[in-house]
Amino acid sequence: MEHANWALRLFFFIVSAFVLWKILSAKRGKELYLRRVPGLDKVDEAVGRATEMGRPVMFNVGWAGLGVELFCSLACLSHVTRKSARVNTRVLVPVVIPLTYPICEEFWKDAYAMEGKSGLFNAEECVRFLSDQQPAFASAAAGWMERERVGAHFIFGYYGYESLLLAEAGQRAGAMQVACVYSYYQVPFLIVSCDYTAFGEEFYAAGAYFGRDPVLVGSLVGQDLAKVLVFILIILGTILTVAFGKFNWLYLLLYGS
Amino acid sequence: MNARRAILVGILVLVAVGIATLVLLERFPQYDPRRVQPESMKPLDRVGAWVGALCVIAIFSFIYRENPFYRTFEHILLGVSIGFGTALIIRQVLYEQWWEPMRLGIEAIVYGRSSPEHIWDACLIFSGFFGLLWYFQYSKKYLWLSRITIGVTAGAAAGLGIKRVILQDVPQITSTFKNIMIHPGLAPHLNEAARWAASAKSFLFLIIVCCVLYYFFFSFRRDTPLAKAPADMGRFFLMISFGAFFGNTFMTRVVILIDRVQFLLHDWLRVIHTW
Amino acid sequence: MDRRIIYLVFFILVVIAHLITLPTRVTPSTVTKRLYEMVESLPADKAVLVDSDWGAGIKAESEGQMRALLHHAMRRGLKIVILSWTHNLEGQKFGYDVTADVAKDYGYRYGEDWCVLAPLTKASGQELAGLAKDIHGTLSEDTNGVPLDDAERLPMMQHIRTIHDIGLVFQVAYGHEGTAWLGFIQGVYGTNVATAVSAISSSTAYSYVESGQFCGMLAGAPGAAEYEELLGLPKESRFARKPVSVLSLAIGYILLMIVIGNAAYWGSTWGTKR
Repeated sequence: MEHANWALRLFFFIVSAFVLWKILSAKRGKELYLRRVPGLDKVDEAVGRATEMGRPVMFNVGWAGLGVELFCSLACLSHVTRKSARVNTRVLVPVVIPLTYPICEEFWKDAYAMEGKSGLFNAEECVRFLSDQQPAFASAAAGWMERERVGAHFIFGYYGYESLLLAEAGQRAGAMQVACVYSYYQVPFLIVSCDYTAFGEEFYAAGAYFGRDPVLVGSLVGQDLAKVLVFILIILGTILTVAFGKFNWLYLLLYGS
Repeated sequence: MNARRAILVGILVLVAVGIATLVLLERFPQYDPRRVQPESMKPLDRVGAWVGALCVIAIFSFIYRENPFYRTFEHILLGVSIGFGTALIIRQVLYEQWWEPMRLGIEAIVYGRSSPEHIWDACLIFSGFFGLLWYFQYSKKYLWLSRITIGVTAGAAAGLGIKRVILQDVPQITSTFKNIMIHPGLAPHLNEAARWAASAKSFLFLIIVCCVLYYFFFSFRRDTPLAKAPADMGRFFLMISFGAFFGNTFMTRVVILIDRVQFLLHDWLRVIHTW
Repeated sequence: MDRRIIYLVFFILVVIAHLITLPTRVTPSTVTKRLYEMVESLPADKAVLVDSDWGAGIKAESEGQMRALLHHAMRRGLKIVILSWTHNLEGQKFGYDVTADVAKDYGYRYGEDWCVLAPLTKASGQELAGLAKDIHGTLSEDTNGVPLDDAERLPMMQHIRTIHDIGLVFQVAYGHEGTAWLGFIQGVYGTNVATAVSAISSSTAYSYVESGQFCGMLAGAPGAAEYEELLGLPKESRFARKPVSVLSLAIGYILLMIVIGNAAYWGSTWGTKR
């Protein structure tokens, strides 16, 4: 179908309504519950460990351009950098997408400034655009990690095959590694090579988890309600398929003509 | 000289002898005992193969340890990729898709031979100004101007993404509508055992989808065992799927290694045919 | 044990596997057979649009996949149009070289039987919406700068103007995520879309094949080898056969390492508990 039918428009409207409702609830100060995500609890531990060893922390924001994924990564970067700033630890940020370099640098600087530590480290030395080509980026980030002997390594965002190269280099440098990625292909490799891993939607939750921004928290809770709707549609669709066959009215409504 | 150093020196000597032999065989091909004939490759291709082999070996040397050899080629790779990328953007995007159409459009308007297409092309000048707003990222006072560009770019991507997501991902919901009780009337070509197997497969599929979906609920409490069990099952099923991903991903990466080894053995050392 | 010894042994094994000939049996999978049957049933007046979105990094898998499909399409006498992207010009170069190489076996001529279009710029799928309605309007020339309306130099393109003239869209890429083909072409016009992806991406692409959105798929180098098997290509034309035979040995080694590693881990844990 070229344009959505009324059912898809209604579906889209309902999902949007859920998200907006919860964002407004969060903005009005209502406390919205978010469950613990085990891997993300270890971020503080990793920063502490790097500080004890007197080594810097490396935070990879991933390969995403301007979009939700980048902003989630940046929320996490901000959290980690603030934690590191409190204990005077350097945070190294290799950047892949040139478009995102000034934004990453701004978040890095703001995080140090919020802890009253602006000027402690040089932003140009710590936040570097390496390359927008995967193999070149992976080689450069791995080399940088080994030369700096990082104590903690955070792999957040969207990655291709370079995630394993980064994780392997981090392991060789002796860093404690926490990964939180939403590219499913890379999760198995990060599970075996990182100390703690969160995946899939937990990445989006991480942004809300750390930042506690009402918009992010409200969006996450609103999405949960949308998932409940999808859940109901799946159960209903299965029941209708058993009763009336595959091409029942719900299937035709959602699939279009 | 201790044993470790002796082994290292021995390996270096062997490598040097090997390289010297290969270079001499290039110079005196009449003594070359290898299967692939040297005449089949042009001289520049031969140089390219040597350079490529050097790069591959340099990057592979990282497996042993981070070393200056690796670092040198890492920086060369970075420089080449950035230079190539910059040239590509200037030539293929800025020049061909912005500058030329805009210039021709403005020229057509100025010389009075414009058409609606030329007017649209001339409007690209506004895209140029819009894109330049990005550089206000470096100004503390006018930073807000760059946020206009970011906002429009992000908003346009989100809006365009909605159509793609609905048309690409909503059919995934309908594909979960499976018949979990296949009766003879529905599949007369299947025997009873096959029908039970197909029904069980669909039922298992439904359970897995529901459990995995439940795992990714963040705002519902899981204090009771009844609430926790589907999430644990969902995680278990996810781990099984990650095992499948692991296998497939490993396969791709090994194939890439195989390709590099093929390059070293066929294009550089010329000891094998490709097939 | 130092992991570098494991890497070294693995590397030596891969080298040895290249030097010897390993017997390999390839059994075509369901998704590969589906693609084969789709291409077999294509009407002779429809063209095949090959989206060449791969590069040197994934050449090991993608080249074999593309060659296999091209062999089939050329054997059936179908016209071939190669599409590439401005963000990945390697795909254009490799697509051109591979098609030119395979075309020699079938006497295909550039402009009459196959051509390579100028690269398209990604615009969140809108570029495909434009391409579907008017190919000549969206991409006015081919890779050599020849206008698509030039009947003398590109006679085949005079009959290929919209998506309705395309029987199959075959995407050769590293992954399928972000592909707009399903959203803007298959979902809107019902055009057959198939994909040839790396083995990594095939895990998630299967769900799109199951739902019928992709009409077939080649999963990595094994997918290419399966397709070559279905075509019954002669030994010298089978590009994917050698990598797959080496792959079998490599996978066997890794399985052995996994078993040994797990046995050692459980053994040490059991020893500690005692």
